[in-house]
Amino acid sequence: MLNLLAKLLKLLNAETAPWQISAGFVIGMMVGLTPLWSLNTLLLLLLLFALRINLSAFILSLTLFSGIGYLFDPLMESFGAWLLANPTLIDLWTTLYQGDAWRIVHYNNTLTLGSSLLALLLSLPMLLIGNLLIRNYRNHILAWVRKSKLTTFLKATRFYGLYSKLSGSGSL
Amino acid sequence: MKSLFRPKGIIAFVLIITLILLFWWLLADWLLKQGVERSGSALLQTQVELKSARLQLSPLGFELNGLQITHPDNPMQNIVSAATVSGYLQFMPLLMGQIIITELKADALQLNSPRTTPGIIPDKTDKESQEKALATTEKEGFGEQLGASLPSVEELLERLPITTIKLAETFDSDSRQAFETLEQQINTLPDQAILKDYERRLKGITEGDINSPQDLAQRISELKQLKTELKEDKRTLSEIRDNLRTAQQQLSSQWHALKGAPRADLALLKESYGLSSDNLGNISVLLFGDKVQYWVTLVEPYLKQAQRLMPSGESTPPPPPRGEGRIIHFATEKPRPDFLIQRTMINIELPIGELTLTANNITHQPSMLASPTTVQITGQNLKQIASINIEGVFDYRNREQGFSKISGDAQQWQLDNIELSKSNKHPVIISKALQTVEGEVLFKDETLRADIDSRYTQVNWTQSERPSTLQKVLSNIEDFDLQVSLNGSLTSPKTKLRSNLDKKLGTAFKQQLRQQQEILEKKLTARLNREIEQRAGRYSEQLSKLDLQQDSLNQSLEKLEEMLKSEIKSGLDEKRDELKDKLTDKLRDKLRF
Repeated sequence: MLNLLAKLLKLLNAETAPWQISAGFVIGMMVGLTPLWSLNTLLLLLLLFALRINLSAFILSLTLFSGIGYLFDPLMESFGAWLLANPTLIDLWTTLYQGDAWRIVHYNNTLTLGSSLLALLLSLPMLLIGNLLIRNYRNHILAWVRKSKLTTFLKATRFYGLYSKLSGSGSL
Repeated sequence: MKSLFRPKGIIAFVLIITLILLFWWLLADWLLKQGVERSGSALLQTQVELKSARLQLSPLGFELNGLQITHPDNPMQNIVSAATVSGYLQFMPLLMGQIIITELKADALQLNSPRTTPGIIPDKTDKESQEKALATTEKEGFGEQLGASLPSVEELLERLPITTIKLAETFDSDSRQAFETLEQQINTLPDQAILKDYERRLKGITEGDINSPQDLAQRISELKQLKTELKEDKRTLSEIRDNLRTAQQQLSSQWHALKGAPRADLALLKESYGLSSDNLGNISVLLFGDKVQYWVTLVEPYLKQAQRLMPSGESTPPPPPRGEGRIIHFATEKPRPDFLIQRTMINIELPIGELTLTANNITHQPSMLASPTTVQITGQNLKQIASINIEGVFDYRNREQGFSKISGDAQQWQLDNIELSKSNKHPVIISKALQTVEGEVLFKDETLRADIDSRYTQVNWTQSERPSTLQKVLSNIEDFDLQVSLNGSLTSPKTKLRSNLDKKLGTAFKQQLRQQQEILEKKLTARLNREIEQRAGRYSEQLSKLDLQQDSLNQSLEKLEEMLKSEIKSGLDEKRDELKDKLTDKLRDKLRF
């Protein structure tokens, strides 16, 4: 737990651009919520590795959203089933069904569709909010945190040692 | 400024994916073996085992070696086993989550082959076991009747649910229990000594002089106590008398039922064993019933498995396992189910030789296909059969109108030593014959209908040293036919047999059979009546004992009632009046002064 917290703080305080962190977080969320063994996951991983997206943020987010995904699995499955059975959308699904590419990404799987759509809907707000939060943290909170008594106290603890080891720089 | 892209990342991605694929490929055979064993066992509800499995990439396919499917009713037998099962898969549908096997081959497939180690069978429900036990009992009723022509009385009593015996046993245990209970209750009642003691106490209260008001009060108190005890005893006595009456009535009604039971039993026996005059001529049932039942029993486990694999009528599918979801299909020019075996070729090894089975369009989603599932079984130049041809159509594309239809024939089937009756003295055995079978089986609307016609020619019968009438008559019959009809549920249909053998047997055998039937009826009646006579003496003895008990109880009850009503009241009133007079006199004397 301490390790995870230290990683998060290191990430927020590092020189990495905010969008890199929030993009990593968003991709982690998308992979965590959707079924693991699919072409979609492979494409997201390719995006993660090919672009300069923060891997630590991805791992943190993946851990968190895999748990959330498991909890909400039945709801997302029902959402997907409802969408696929919706009479107003049948024409769209039927058109997509004629193309192999869409079927390979399993758009007609109730869970894949439900969870992917939910992840897509959440991705843009998450990206923007994450970006904003990281910027605000760095501009306003980081300086205050460094001067606070709590930081002075923390510097004397085992947690700080762990954080220093991970960050290399040694400053909070 | 750094570029948006991370070239090293792409290399790392490719490396990681390659490593995962390599790792998967190394484990692929094991994963396939595990997958087939687990999902097969879950689907068929019996152990499915493989010796090994192999996956190949080009063309995409698999090979399963040493397939064994444990018989659901016998862990030391395989319902199906095969040396090799191989197949080819389509790659693109696999990416879409669909398994399309273009060709499936199975070599050296065997039915009912023995196992070296016991297979694992999941526990069956009590209901299934009961059904099986019942079915076994029913099957046993068919045969072994023609040896000495008819079964013995003791055999009949063992095989059928005889009401007389059951009622007699119930009567025995109920009467024993009733007597034990009554005896226990009677033991708690006041005996003669206690009754005399009551009388003595009553006399003590009511007789002798009352000297003072305290004495009177003391006597009233004692009297109250005595009254309470008497009332309690009276209540107990009444209860026991009622119980006794109930027991008498119950035993009496049981006795009447027991006396009437033999007649009903005899009717049941006649009906069950086809001994009524209407069925007397139906010799074909007695001769071939066991054989037909044997074939029904033989195919029953396969029918059960087939029923499990048939598309169910459930309109709402069960929720998918967590993390998987369901694939929904939409209208398309070339619909494809989630699982399909386009073409199957199986070589089946049987004692009579090798049969070839070809099947097309095997799927659990038949509504997605333009053609139904078809099966063809052929066999040429077999050991004892000139040819076998079986064709089956399993059309469930429309669930409401779904049906399975199997038709076929077997030509020139050489029969050797077919034992129709297992009697030690006079077995009925076809030593040699040629059989031709044609039939059609239809399963529709949860009902099985089958009509199978057999023609037997060049029939030779085995003769005993001292042939029975039946054997003598049969020896002259060289050809006959047999029609078998099945109707009912898939796994336990009702069987009907007809044959021209009955006509051919003539009257001689029937007459003999009628005589035997009469003897059997007499023996049965005597045996059942003996059961009743054994109990008749004991019953009347018990009845008179109960009457005596009731008389004794009534007397005791009367005595108690008398004590309660008369003596207590009158005796004490008298004494009270005496005391009153005495006290009045005393008072009057004192007032004179």
